[in-house]
Amino acid sequence: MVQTKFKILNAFVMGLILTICCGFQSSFWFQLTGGAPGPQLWILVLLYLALYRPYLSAMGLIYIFALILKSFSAVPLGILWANLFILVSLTSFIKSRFFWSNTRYFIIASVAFSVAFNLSSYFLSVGLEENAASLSPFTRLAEVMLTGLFSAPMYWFLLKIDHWTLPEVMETQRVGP
Amino acid sequence: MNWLNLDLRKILITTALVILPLISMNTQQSPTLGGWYDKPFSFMAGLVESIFFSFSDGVRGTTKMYLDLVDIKKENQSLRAQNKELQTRLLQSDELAKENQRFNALLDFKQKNKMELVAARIMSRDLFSDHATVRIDKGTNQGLKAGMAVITTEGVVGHIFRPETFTSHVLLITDRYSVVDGLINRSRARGIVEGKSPGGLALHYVEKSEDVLKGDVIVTSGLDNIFPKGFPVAVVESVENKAFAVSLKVELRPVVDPDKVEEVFVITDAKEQDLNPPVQKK
Repeated sequence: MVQTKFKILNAFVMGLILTICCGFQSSFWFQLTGGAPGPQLWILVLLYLALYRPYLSAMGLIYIFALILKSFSAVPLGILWANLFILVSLTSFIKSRFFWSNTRYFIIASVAFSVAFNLSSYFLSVGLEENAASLSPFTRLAEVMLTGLFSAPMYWFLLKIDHWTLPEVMETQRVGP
Repeated sequence: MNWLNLDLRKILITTALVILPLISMNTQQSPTLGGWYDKPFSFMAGLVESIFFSFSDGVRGTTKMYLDLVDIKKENQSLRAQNKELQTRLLQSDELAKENQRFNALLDFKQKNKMELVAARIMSRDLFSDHATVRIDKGTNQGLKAGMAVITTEGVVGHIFRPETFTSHVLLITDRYSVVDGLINRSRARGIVEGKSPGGLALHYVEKSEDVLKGDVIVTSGLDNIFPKGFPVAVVESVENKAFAVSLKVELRPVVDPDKVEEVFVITDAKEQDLNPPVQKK
């Protein structure tokens, strides 16, 4: 019962962090840099959940968090859910083959996750939408690189959040940078 | 009885997770239309972006002030103190004059038109680079509604698609989901202006016999009941007449660069204003 309360608190805090990350990218970064591509900080939060939560819990949580992402964009919910389903399933599959819990793994995974997100968005758009998205490789590449740059501090921060809000789970999993 | 030794709970949850996106895609009437479940999230998003907007405004002000100070320090080495102070004042007044000029143009535009306009500032842009939307700092509290046109003094910017209490989400004309009914101002040829993220536009369904030239200005036709008639949308960049195509392939450049816009107007009542009387066809 106590653990369930901790899990709910953790989910709430993660949702809050995701909202702040989205706000940072869409408003703060935009105001300071204009139209320049920004780091996809929200991807790091979702990746963290995909790596450090059981598959179904992560998927459920990410489906709910997709509503937060949607409120910052014009992206249709169905496309976003389909995209996240592919990504989390892919992450879970790779995680089951090789996984070690440290910063280096998270940086590599964040770059791979970001590339996979951009590719799956593009192909889903081409396959499902009438007026498909353009590939715009330079914008997407810049976003991927910036996401990779921000991944280490974000990983440290998200681990700290888990240590504070899920102490028992973290103790049993023994994860750390 | 579970002969195959399957975890039925897990199978049911996974099936639901797969089916949910498909149901959502099939039941959604318009890609930009939100459901009731969107409301609290959109409200929260608006709130967070408002906070970041105020914060970044402050940071920009401080950075600008700091950069000015650094400039003064550099100039100090070569100029006398009095001259430097005067130069800094001149720079500041130049900046103020430019800002004043911009606001005067906006005020002038507002006064010269019969339309009812609400001035707003752009707070943020879309989270995904695949989409072209912005959020403005005015919402339903200021009388804004979904479908209202968003313009600048130069031309069309987009329309409101998700109004909130204090903020509104604007779908830019450069977004893939945006369509505007347009006319070529010179020849009055009709077409549909469609967004091509990032930043581009295309004019579709223009008959091959129509007269379209590079540099022609596309204006709104007013038929979509969103934009007032005769307002500039884009300029023709290239025209291609392919032998086996049904219509002309026309590439456009938007009159307003969405990345450089800071202030916009929302038309709350267009009062059937025709902003650009038809040009006589030669």
